[in-house]
Formats: sequence, C-alpha cells, structure tokens
Amino acid sequence: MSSITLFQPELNYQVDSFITKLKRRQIVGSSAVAIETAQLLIRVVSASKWKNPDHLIKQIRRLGVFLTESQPKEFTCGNIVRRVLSLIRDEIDDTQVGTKLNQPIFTSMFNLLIPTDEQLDKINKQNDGYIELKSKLDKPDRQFINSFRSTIIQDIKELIDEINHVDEGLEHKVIELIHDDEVLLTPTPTSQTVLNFLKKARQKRRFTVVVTESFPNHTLTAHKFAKELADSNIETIVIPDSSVYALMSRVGKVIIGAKTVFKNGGCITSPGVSAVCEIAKELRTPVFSVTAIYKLTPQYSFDTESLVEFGNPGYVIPFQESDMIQNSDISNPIIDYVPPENISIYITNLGGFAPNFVYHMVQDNYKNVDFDLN
Amino acid sequence: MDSAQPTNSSGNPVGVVSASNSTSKAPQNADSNAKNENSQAANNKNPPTLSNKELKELKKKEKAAKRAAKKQQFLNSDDKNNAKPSSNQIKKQINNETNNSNATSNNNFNPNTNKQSTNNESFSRDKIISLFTHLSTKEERNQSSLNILHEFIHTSIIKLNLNYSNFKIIGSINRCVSMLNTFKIVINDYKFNDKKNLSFSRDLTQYLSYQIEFLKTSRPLSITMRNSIRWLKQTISELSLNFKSPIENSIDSQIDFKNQISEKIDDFIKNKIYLPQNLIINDAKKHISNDSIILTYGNSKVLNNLFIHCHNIEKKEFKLIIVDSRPLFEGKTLLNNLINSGFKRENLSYIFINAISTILNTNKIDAVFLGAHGILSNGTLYSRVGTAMCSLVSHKRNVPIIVCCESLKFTDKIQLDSLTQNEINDNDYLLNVPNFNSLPKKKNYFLEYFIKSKSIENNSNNFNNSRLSKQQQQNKLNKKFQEENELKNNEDYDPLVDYKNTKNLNLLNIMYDLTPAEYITKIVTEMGSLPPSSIPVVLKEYNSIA
Amino acid sequence: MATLTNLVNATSLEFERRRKLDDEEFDIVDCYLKILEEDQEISMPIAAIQALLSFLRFRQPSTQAELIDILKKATNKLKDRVDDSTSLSAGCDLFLRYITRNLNLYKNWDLVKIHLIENGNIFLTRSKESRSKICKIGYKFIKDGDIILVHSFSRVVLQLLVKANEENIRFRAFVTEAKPSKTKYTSINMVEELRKSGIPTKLILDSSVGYVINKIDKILVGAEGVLETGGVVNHIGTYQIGLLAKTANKPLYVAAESHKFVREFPLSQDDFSKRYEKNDIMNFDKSTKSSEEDIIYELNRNPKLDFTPPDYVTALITDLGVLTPSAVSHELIKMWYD
Repeated sequence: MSSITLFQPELNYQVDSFITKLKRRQIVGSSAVAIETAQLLIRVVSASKWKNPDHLIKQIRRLGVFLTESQPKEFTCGNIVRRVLSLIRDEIDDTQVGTKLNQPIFTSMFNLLIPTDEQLDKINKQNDGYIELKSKLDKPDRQFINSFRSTIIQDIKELIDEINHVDEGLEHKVIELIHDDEVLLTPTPTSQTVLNFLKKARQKRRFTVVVTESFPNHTLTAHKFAKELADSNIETIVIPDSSVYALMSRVGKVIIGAKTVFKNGGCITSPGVSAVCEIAKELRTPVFSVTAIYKLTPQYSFDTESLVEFGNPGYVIPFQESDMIQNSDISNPIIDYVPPENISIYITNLGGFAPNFVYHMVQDNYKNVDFDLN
Repeated sequence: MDSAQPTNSSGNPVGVVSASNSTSKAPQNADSNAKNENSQAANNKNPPTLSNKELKELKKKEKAAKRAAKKQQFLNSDDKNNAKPSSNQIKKQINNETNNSNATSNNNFNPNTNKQSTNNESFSRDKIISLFTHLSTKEERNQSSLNILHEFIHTSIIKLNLNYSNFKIIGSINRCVSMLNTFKIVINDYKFNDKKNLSFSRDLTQYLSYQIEFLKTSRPLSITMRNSIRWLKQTISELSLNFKSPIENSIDSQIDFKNQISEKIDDFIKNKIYLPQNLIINDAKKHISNDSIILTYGNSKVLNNLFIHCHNIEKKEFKLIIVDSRPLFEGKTLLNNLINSGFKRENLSYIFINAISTILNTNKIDAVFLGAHGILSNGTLYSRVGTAMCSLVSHKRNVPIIVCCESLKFTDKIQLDSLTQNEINDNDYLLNVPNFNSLPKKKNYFLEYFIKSKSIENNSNNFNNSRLSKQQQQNKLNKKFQEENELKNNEDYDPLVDYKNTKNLNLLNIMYDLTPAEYITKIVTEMGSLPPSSIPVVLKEYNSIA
Repeated sequence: MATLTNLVNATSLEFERRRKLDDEEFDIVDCYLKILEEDQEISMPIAAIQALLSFLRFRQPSTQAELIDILKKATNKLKDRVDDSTSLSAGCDLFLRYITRNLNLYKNWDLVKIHLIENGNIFLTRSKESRSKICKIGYKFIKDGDIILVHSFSRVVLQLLVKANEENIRFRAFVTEAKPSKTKYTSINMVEELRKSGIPTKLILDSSVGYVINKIDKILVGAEGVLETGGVVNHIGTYQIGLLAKTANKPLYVAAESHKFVREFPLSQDDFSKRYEKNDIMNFDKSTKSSEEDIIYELNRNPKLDFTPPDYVTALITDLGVLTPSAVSHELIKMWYD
C-alpha cells in the first residue's frame, strides 16, 4: 500500500484508505465517489496544517494528483478536487475584493501581452492597500485562518448538498422534455439519475419507457430498473440490446445517464450507449443526457481509445464454457464513449445546455489554473 | 415466354398478399386456414412457362378443385385415411413438449383443456406491446397448432416443427434444407386418397399445405422456405401436366412421380443452395486477405463456410471478430465451429453487440460480413435483429459491409420498417440471465480478520471456556455466511421472472430487423456481386423460382 | 484670445508636421516586413505587434488619445497594404484592444515604456512559449501507430510533431504539397524538418488527399487566423481536406496560438477573400495565352488562402487549452466585453 506523506499521520491514513477503496472499486457510482471525496476534503481542510490559503491550495492539489493517479478513470475525484480548489480561490478573491477594482484586465487572450510579475508589482505598488492585503494573505493571523477554514468547510458542505440534491434540480425540466404518451428509450439502466428522473417525470406525464438489457454486465440491474419503473406505474418494456434499431423509429426521445462529461461535450457511459446514440442520430431522435454538474470534467477526450476499460470476460462467456474462452479473445468493455455530435442536450441540475456549451460550464465551475493538477 | 409474362406479373401480387396475410394473422382455425392456403396455392400455380391455353385449362381445373376441396372439408373433417396410425400418440407427445418448454416460465399453459388455454391466450395478448399486436406470439402459434388436425400431419413434420420451435434447427438456409428434405420423406410416404375426387397433384399439394400450415405453428416461414414452397408447388403441378396418363391410375406412375419430385428437390437444394454457396465463397473470399480484420454478426451458414474455407484451404491468417447478442447466442455456434476447424486463438475475437462501437474504434476493421434472412425488393436487408445496428455503426465509420446470400433469399416483399413484419420470439428467453455470480465469491477479508482477532481476544480473555466460545464463534460465523449467501442468492434473483403478473411491465423479443440498403456496400450472390440497388433487376428478370 | 488660437494652430501645425514626418521617415509596413524577414521564428501577428511598438517608440505619444489615434492609423495602414492580412489584423486588434482595455494602467507614460516598449522582445518569447504550450497540450493527440496528414507548412504543427517524436510516440506523416505556396516556407521545408527529426514522412500531391483519407488517423493543420465561429483561415486546400475528413469521419485538429483569433465572421470564401486577399479567380477573360509562363502566372494568381467553416474542425489546440470551435467565440467575446 502506497503511503502518503502529505499530511499528518492520521489524515494520511484516511487518504490512504480512501485511495484503496477507489482502487478496489469499492465505492460504486459517481455520486458516491463525489460525496466521499468531498468529505475527505472537509477532513483535510479542517485537520491539515496550513500557513496560508495558497499553502492549502498546494496541499489540495497534491492530494488531487494522488487521487487521480490512483484511479485515473474515475474522473469524479478530480472534478470534486477542482471544484473545491475553485471554491477556495473564489474565497480568496472575495477577500481581495477591495483591490480588485484597480486590477488590470487580463483575460486569457491577453497571455501574450500581460506584464511580468515584476512589472505587475511595480504597477500594483501604486495602488493603496494592495501590499497590506498581500501580506495579510501571505502571513495571515490565526483568526483569519480559522474564519477562512470554516467558510471553506461551509462551502464544501454546500457542494455535498448540491450533489445530494441533483435530482431535484432536474425535476423542473420534465415538463419541457416529455409529452404525454411519449415513448422514451434508455440504454443506461444502471443510472440512478435516470431512474429518479423518470419516476419524478411520472408525476407529471404519462409515458412508456423502453429499457435495454445492457448485457452482459448489468442485465440484472436493468431488470431491477425495469421492475422499479413498472412499480412506479410507468409503462415499461424490456428489450435486448440488439433490438434498438428496430424500435428506434417509434421512440420519441432517448434518455441516457452519463458517468463523466468531457469539456468537448462527449461523455462516458455504459457500454452500448454509443451505438444507440448513433442510431438515434441517424433517425433524428433527440438524445438527452441527464447528468450533474460535478460530472463535468475539464479534460478533453482526445484519446477515446485509452478511455475504454475492459471488464471480466467471464461475463461474456461463462467460465463453464472454458473451451471457447481458451480459444478466443473475448473482450468486455465496461464503458462507452459517446461523441458530442450524438447528444442533443445535457440536462443538469443547473439547467440544460448543448454539448458545445459544456466547455463554458466547465470554465464556470473550475479555474483554468487547476485543469492540470500537477 | 413473352405471352406468359403479363399473367405472371398480375398473378404475383395476389399471391404475395395472400402469403403475407396468412403469416401475419394468427391462424384462427384450420378451416379458414386451409381455404387460405388453397387460394394461395391456386395463385401460385401460374407457371410462367405455360401458354395461355394451358393456363386457362389449369384455371378451370383449379376452380373445380377448389369447389371440391370446400365440399371435402365439410364432409371429411373426420377422414382419417391419410393419417398415420401413430399420430394420436404424437399429438400427445407434442403437447407434452410444448408444456415442457413453457414450464420454465411458470406459465400454466395447458393445451389439453381448451378453456384454460384460451384464458391464457387472452392473458398473453396483454403482454404484447400495442405496436406488435398484429404479430403472433410463440404461445399463440403453439396454441393454434392444436387446432390443426394432427391426423393429417406427418411424424417427421412434427419432429421438424419441434426442432424449429426449440431453435435446434436455426438459420433460414438450415431450416429450408431440412424442410425440403422432410418433404421428400413426406411425399414418399404420401398415399393418394381418391375419395376426395381430386387429381393426384392437387391432393398432394393440399396435403403438403396441411404440413406447411402445421410447420408455421412453430415459427413463421422463412423467406427461403416460402420461396422453395412456391417452387415445389409449381413443380408438382408442372410435373403432373407432363405426365401423359393420369397419375391416379397406377401405383407405378405414382411412385415414378414421387421419385421425380424427390429428384427435383435434390436438384433444387443443389442448385439453389449448395452451388450458390460455393460461388459466393469464391467471390467473397477476395475480400479476406492475410492480416485483414473482419467483423461478423451472428451466424450464417455461408459465412461459416466462407471463413473456414479461407482459413483451412486458402491458409489465410485473418482476424475475425464475432459479434453476438442475446438471447440466441448464434455467434457462439460460429465461434465453436471455427475453433473446431482449427482457428487460432489470436485470430478469433468474441464480443457482444454492446461492445461494437468500442471495438470499431479500437480496431481497424477491413470489412463487415453479414448473413441475410432475406433481401427485399428495394435492396433492404432483412436479417437477425441487431444486424441493422452493426451495419449502421460500421457504415458510419466507412467500413465496407458485405452481405453474402443466395438469390433464394430474394423476395419481392415490401417492408419499410422492422415492425410491420417480424417474428416475436418467446419473451421467457429474456429472463434467462446467465448466472455469472455462480463463481466462488471473494471472501470478506476484513470481516474474517475482524472475527479472527476478536476470537483471539476472546481466547485470551476467557481462557477457561475458550473451547466453548470458539464453537459459538464458529456457529455464529457459519450462520453469518449462510445469511450472506441467502442475500446474494436474492441478489441474483431476476425481478422480471414474474413479469406476467406485473402491471405495466412488458418484454419484447423480436427476431429480425431491417437494414436500409444505403448501409450495404455490396451483396454477394451466386450471380456475382451486386449493389443493393440491383436487387429489383434480379428479381424481375432472372429469378427463375417464380 | 489670439494667443490661444495661435497656440492651437501651432500645435495642430506641429501635429501635422510630425504626422507627415512619420509617413516619410517611418514606414510601418516596411518595418513589419523587415521584422518578418529578420527572424524566421516570428509569426505575423507578433511581427505586427513589434512593428506597432517600434512605431510607438518612434512617435512617443504623450497622451492616451494620441496613443490610440496613432495606433489606429498605423493598424489601418498595415491592414490595407499587406496582402493576406488575416493573422496580421489579429495581432493588431489584440494589441489595440489590450491597450484600450488597460488604459487605466497606463496613466503614467513611464509604465507603458517599462512594460511595452523596453521589453519588446518579451512578446517574442511569449509567443514561443505559447507555441511550446500548444505542443505540450497537443502532442497527446498523437498516438502510437498513427498516420497523420499535415497540410502545408506550419511552425506550430511542425513543433508539435517534433515534440511528439521526442516523447517517443511512433507515428508517420503525410505532408501535402500545398501549392501555390504563399511564403518562402513550403511543404518541402516541412518535410525536410520532419525527416531531420526522424519522423517517417511522405510528401503527397494536393490532389491525392482523397486517396489517402481512409488510410490516415487524423489531420493536423495550422492556421493563418481563427475566426469568430471557430472556423479557420489557412493555406488553400484546407477546406477541401476538411470536407473529405468529415465524410471519412477523421478528426481535423487545428493548432493555433490564441493571438491568431480574429473577430471576423465570413459566410463563404468570397466573404473573406474580398477582405483579405486579392485574386482573379473569377476573372474569365478571353485570354488565348497558354504558354508555360502564362500558365504559371495564371496559377500564381490563384487564391492562396481559404476559409474552413467550424463544422469541419474537430477541435482547436491552442495555448488556452483545447477548444471546441464554439469556444473561440467565447474567448473573443471575453476579450472585448469582459
């Protein structure tokens, strides 16, 4: 077990155990990962020793590196870390608000022209109060640290609250998305978000849901999903994954869940969804993805091949049929990448937006400097 | 030939309509069905090679035969002359079999008591999605098999019926060949019944129609089967016209006639199925070269042979990716066949249809080979459900799609979506989720460790009665594991098993889908490689079956 | 009163005199071309900014208004007199915008001097930095075993490929001939450089792109300018490569520094060529000339730039990170209104 010497021992131990859980995939589902990460961060913010906010940022970034490296395909961890970093940076900005007015405007386009730090210092020296604040931030007194700490913790708690109440944010969109007597198809029966969304939607609309089986990895889950929908008084039809094309022409909308949404508007979800979305696109059936803001990741999915994860081939051909296993190469991808052009819209707790707008939401929620944690 | 053309083209559509009627509507009872089949047979009886005069004669004959047949049906409903003595036993047997096949689904389907079964029928109708109420379910087909007079049905046909409905014989070519071979037996065993006042050939055709009607209760006829039946009926009537003396008169001429038909059937199988397959393989093999990566979906007889030919005879080292889907797992059959014929591990890959886009993204696939159930007049491919998905995804990535099929599979049917014509398979197949978790579960090391440490603690604490406490611990432990196991078993429990009694819950298991012609790069047939747009040409000009 | 008008007259006269003087003594276009000539590494927008700075140094404006006035005039002159000025105008606009947005910083003229004029070469290093930043982000787009199609000569693309090679990614590259070439740097230079760094490279005709399109994995091009929509102005031929890429489902990546972003929104090739490029492709005169020379002349009068709409661009690799075409507009809007 890799030992981490980031913080004091008892904190390191907590980080360690979290990382092991991540590696072993003992935390399942992005929302669970998100919440656990946020809780870990609360512990870090409250228990670790830091001299000033910058120091705290550094510590959290290092922690972020550890977390993302331990499970590089679990993007949620990194997302939460970046969110928290952005929260901290916002708080720092807020304390600086007095001097901000006189700051030069440097949008990223001006990279080329912005003065060097030295020059900036010279310029800033003309502004009163700047130095005072700078020294205050560099060597803050205990009172400041304590109040800063508690605001950050409060912020993270609000973040956890947001994660917990994603479904409520989605609820309002039902009326805009589904009409009575509509047929919806969902190829992601593993998504709790989709399930909750549909159940909520039933309160306002009457519709039919076609559920694919998501064979072989999640067939039982799919069946449970279907059963739960049926129990919530939603007309439900279970179909094998292969029948999607045949039925697509009768489907009004496709609803998918997403594990991770990339900056370019593509997303990672359950296997098979990519093909379903392609069919939908071909037949002009709108595809909407219900997801949450914390699933947005500032990464660009330039290498879709390396994103793919493979699971147990024993699910494809049971080990009882060992002859076939020995004599062929069996793959069982457990995720799928859907390119942005095959998704019509993302519905999140902060509203709906087109895939080509994801980059903007990413910029809103994370700070550019934190895109790369290293 | 020229003079026959217009009658042929005007006769054809009628035949088509009646054919599609008889398959799309579940046969209500034997009576109406026999009528239906009669009229269909009559329509199909227009051989293109006949002169007008002959045709008129034929029509007159047919009319007479029809009237006679109608009478016959009223009179001879309990005529057992043709029936095999053992057919009653077989009827029982088939009932039992269907019972067994349904037993897994907790379905109290009991064909022996009519009342109960009709209840059941109406119940299962509920479980058909409104989009598909025009199609018959497997249960309904089984049900309707009871309404057919089993006395008329040949044993081998009953056997065949079972093999079809259990998917023991699967694939349209396999089904077609086995059907034709069975017909040979049936025709051979056929005894002419002159009580009916029918010509030999009419009576034989009618007899065969009964058999076909019964076969339909297993699964709807495949396009190949339909085409061959059409051919067979035509051949019988043509042959009978060529006979100088009436066949009815002598047993010898009857035997001679039967032998001739047998021969014709053999020729048909050879010329329409086996020979084309070789031609197709010869044409298609040039698309498989060393180091190419080929993708295929499901299992097709021609493709199976093609791959084995390229590997074993041409010694090509190519990689094959087999895409498969639930619930039939036909790809497994292909995989097994290929493994048995010596394919190397590194050349075989097996995935499920869910993985297709991932596989297409990560591999540079050179071509997709697909089999067909049928090719419709506008070049649309009618094939195993999932084919359309594979084709679309490959087409979008510019992978050429090659369909290999015999021209026997061409049909002038028209269909615009996958829903108007399809086959609904037994929903219960979907409930069969393979139990992957039957593997030994990983132990909970932490729990064990905890218990161990606790027990050690206990040991040191209660030194005296350590033995007893240990036993208690052991008991507790066992109990715990038992409970856990129970829970896990519950986890594996498929919540849909009871879907028939759950409101709002439906399953849908269709067999085919339509792949638009635009996805298909080429169709390899025994007439060479064709673009999908040329299918109507072939159908119109060269289809010698019709 | 008279003295006042005199004074005004005097200053305006003085102003007039000085203006005439610059026109004679300081030709900004010459300056710009010279800067381009002197340093091979320098790209057009940077050269434009450098030229503007030299001009400022020469003119020494004393008020903000004068500063802006001088800059505007010089910019217009540059844009008018230089052909193919997309990226040039990007540089000028950026500079002008920066100055106007941050005027409050420059209450004091000394500061302007400190920052802008005396550290003139800072832009050069910055622009190089942004190029290496692009490489750092962009090399990850290249994977082992890839075949990459490169169109024309581009410093960024070259550097990116070299970087990828240094990172031990094994890939091959097709380079299009990209005729007619606009500058002295041609695809031949590109091939030379690539081969020098050990990347297996093949030069292909512009007309054989369709032939190789299904063999390649991705397309990488530079840009003369990136437009408001995320569309790209680049060496002629990019548009048709984009079209081919779209049908063949191959990603087309554009590597460009953010200082090449321009607030322009052309709808078609004409739209933008009217503004930036003079060519006579639509001039079907009844010339009977068909000697070799004439033909070469005629071909050289072909357009040298085209505009690729954003639909054909998969992503832009910039120093601001990887942007989708729609994000370009966002960046530009930020520059003007944030």
